[in-house]
Amino acid sequence: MKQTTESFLRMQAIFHEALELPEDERAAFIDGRCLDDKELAAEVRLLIEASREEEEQSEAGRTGGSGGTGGASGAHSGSGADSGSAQRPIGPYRLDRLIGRGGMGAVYLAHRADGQFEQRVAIKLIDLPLATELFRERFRQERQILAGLQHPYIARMLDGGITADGDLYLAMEYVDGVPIHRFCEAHNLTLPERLALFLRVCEAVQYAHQNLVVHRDLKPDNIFVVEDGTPRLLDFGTAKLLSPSLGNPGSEMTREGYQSFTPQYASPEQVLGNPITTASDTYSLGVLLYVLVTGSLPYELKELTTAEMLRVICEEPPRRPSHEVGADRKLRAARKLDPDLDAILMKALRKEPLQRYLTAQQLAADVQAWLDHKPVAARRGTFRYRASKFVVRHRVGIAGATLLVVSLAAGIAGILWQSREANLQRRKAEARSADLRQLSKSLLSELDEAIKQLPGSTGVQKLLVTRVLEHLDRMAADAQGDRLTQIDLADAYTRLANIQGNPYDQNLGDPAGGLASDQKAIDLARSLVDENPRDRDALRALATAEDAESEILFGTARTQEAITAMQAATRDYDRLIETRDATPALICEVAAAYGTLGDEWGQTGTASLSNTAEGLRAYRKTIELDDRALSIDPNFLRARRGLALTQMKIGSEEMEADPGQALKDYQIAIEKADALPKDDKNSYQTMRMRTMIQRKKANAHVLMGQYAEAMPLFAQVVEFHRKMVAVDPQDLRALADLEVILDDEAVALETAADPALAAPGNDSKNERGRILSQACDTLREVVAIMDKMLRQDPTNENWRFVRASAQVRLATDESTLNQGQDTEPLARAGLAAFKEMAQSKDASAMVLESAATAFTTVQPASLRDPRFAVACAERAVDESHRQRPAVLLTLAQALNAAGQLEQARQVAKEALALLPPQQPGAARSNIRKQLEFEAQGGATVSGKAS
Amino acid sequence: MQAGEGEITLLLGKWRDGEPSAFEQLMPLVYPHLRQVAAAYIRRERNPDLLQGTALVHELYLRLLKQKKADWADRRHFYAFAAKIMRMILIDHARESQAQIRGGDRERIPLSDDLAWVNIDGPEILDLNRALDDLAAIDSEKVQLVELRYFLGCTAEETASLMGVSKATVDRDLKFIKSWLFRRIHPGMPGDPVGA
Repeated sequence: MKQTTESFLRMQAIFHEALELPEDERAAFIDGRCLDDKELAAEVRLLIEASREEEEQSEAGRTGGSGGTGGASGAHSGSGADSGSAQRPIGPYRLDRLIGRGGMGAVYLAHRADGQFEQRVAIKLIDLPLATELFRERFRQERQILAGLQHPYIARMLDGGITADGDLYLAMEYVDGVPIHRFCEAHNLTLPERLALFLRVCEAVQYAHQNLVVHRDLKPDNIFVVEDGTPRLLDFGTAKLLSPSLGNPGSEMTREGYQSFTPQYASPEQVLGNPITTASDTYSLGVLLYVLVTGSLPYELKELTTAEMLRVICEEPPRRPSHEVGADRKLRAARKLDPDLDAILMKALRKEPLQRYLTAQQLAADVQAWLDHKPVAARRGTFRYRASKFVVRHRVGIAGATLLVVSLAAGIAGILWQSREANLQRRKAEARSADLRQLSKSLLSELDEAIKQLPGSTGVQKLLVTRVLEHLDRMAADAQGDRLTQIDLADAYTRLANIQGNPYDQNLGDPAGGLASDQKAIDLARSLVDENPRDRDALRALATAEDAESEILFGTARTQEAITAMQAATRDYDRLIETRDATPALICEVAAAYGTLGDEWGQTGTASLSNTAEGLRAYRKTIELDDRALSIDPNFLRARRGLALTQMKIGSEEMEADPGQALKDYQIAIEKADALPKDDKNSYQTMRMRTMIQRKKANAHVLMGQYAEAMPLFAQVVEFHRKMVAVDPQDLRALADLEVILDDEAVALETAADPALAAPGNDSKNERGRILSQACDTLREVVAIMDKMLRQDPTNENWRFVRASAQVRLATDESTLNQGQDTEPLARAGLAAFKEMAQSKDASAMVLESAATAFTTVQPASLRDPRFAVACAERAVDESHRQRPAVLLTLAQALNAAGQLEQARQVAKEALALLPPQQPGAARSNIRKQLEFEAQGGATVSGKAS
Repeated sequence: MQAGEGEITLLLGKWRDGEPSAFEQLMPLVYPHLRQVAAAYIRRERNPDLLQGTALVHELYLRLLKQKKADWADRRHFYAFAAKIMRMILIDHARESQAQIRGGDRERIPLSDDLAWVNIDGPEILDLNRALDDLAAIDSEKVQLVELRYFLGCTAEETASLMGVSKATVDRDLKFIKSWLFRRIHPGMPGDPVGA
């Protein structure tokens, strides 16, 4: 039935003409028009026949018939199209009619169909395309909690479950009322009447909060007022139910989904995807109060893009309600531009959760005070507005959340599109300015941020990755011979690989998947490079993919392979920048690759090969490249920041064997950080980097036995991190920073109190006791912080390790001070944790080394286990390739304690050989003192903290 | 992620010229929205008053106009693009439901009242899809007509205005196309000299 356009058009003309005629004249007409073309005539006749058939079957389809007999549709029968969902039984309910539709799905009026009792209910059918099994399970659990929520002003959740078709539904008490703002308008309520109604809403919200249920989507459409003038809160907790989050069921803080709120009423933390607390509901109550009082919203969000919307919600202060000329004259007159009411509203709408009313009850109390003409709490004292800080600290979050909306919703299209966009921008950038290039590069981190912010559920994340991968694979099959698309695809695979498993980025913890995706990127790019070795775009894609491969391998401790991959990457990168016109941005990218190579060779505390010489060589190359980038553009910020960071890494590399040299490096690093432009210097990121260098500098002083120099530095760094914690006590990253510096400070104090290492002049028994009791105070704070952090995430291995170490040391120090406490239970708790972690075959050198020290030095001495300590220390020595003097020292000390004195001496000598030659006249480092002590046979027991 | 001024105009132009990369770049603009529409459709919650593909596309388009990313003259191409995506989404879905044979009776949801013998997840929509591919080789404008009218859900008036023709022409063309498609899908009708 091959047809040409020409015969098709002719056929069409005859068809229409024939249809105009009475049926009995058509045949003759068609024959006449088609002349000799019998086939065409037959075809037109058949088309006219088909037209009749088509209409019949369409009619049958409309009325729900079986669809006729002629076609495949005959196999399909149905229960009637226009009945829609209406007749569908949902659990024990039968739907009556559609009453509304929200972001999450359709709401129906329904009744119980099982005759048990007559009850009208509202049924919500949930529109959640990504409802995974895991989500369904949590849904089942949580609706039980919500069913227990019983308050006269809260519409009850009756039931919920899964329909025969697999859709989720919720059954709620049906409320016959109107939204609260409409009620106020319709009944012309005065301001005091409105506030009285609002107080009842607060009461219901407070009740729910006391039951650890957060509404998350409070808005007039969810707050109905019934005939008797009392409110009913609808949809309590459904927002949480509907967010595909795994969270801690017992915790009131749960990362939230994006679909389940209304932007106009959502708090900044909500739109940013940060943890939601009851303060988020208090914020929404503030918006509601604003609407009831002024008749308008605190800010205009109409017709804004997602990014603009986020900016307004998170940054723009609300309009002063008293300046707000509401449409409602009556309200305006009654309100008389009241500053107290203003203050209440402004406090309820603070951007920072902690600056708001902490509970609905407090908000209600202030509203009540206003009604009673008493002073309101909101005006007591002034609060320094910290919005700018909040925004600075969450800027990445804003970008990430914006992107999330795109990438999650667009699903399969998202990632590829971003790569394309990135490449588009890159091409422009390389032609024009370096800054744009920078921008495209940052897309990567934004995407990672977005993935991280995907509400907790790994199920959803994995699904997204699977979809993207399928899509890329399909595209790859189609892209044969299309060079640009292949480059884009290679970049997209690399990005995906990073998201799946690159430990340098936020990732999904799937390194195997990451490596598989990355291999595809490498294959695509390499074939293009093989085809045309001068294809610079392909070469860059190849280098980037090899770079990612190396980082992922490093993360899985396949360090040798990681180094091989990074060497390939740097070779390709070097070719890219050997031309004179290489941009600073590209050069910096190469510098970063060398930086990672340095980490892989020598960085301590990682799976590196502990090869300091090679590590330093790579870091020096990083510095050389950053300098080259700066010679082209002296203001290139990334290079300047990179210089400070790399200089710090060089110091860390040298720290163990040569703390004196490390001190000099840290000093240079601090100078580089201080030379950054003012704006950048004052950014949180740079300040954090600077304090990190200061901390390391302080540690180097400690290793040199220069405690008097170290202590003021510790104090400065502690103060900085305490401030950061005070800004947001819920911020775990800030707490972790504080914990690290306190822990370092405690080590310094312990070292200063060690009789063998104490500074001359401060080595009296009394003085050492005073210092050690300071160490105890610090360690107690560390333990308390770790307790708090571990409550948030009990499985975090690193945190468990830090706590165990602090526990053992605190017990030991207290026991040394001998002030009568029973320190044994604390010591036992720490040792038990160490034992469990050290027995894992994946235990890191750091954990093993600390476990060895703990079991060698713990007080009371009856808890020691030198043989276990030796076993741990030997593994730690292997893990660090016998290259780290400090680890060897730990082994020597453990051997000594186990009575293997000769071996201890040998190990100590081996470690001493790793130290640089001692310069005559230079101060001896602590490690040298300790190693020499062990090499000479040592005492029976020597420990860092004893 | 931000398209520059007039960028949509540029992309639509490239798409019309058959450049596949333009398609990929346009996709995220409409795909998520349309997928929502399609999802509601598929869950048998079709309610034209509440949710409609054309309304969504219209809204999207106004936004692009406002942001000066698109030009009024692109309207037809933008809708045509959206309609094509909608076809893709529905066909993908139908393929999936055909692949997993579900027990029990699913209600029929006609693709359009005017093309009610085509069930949105029945086998006939896949037949329709193939027939449209055949039709594209002969007269691609007609395919666009079908996509706008039946997949995106434009009214005959909207379709006419988008295609720049009268409503009578749209009706007439559709009458023929429907017959042609039906005949294509059901080749074994009585009196067929050619056969299947």
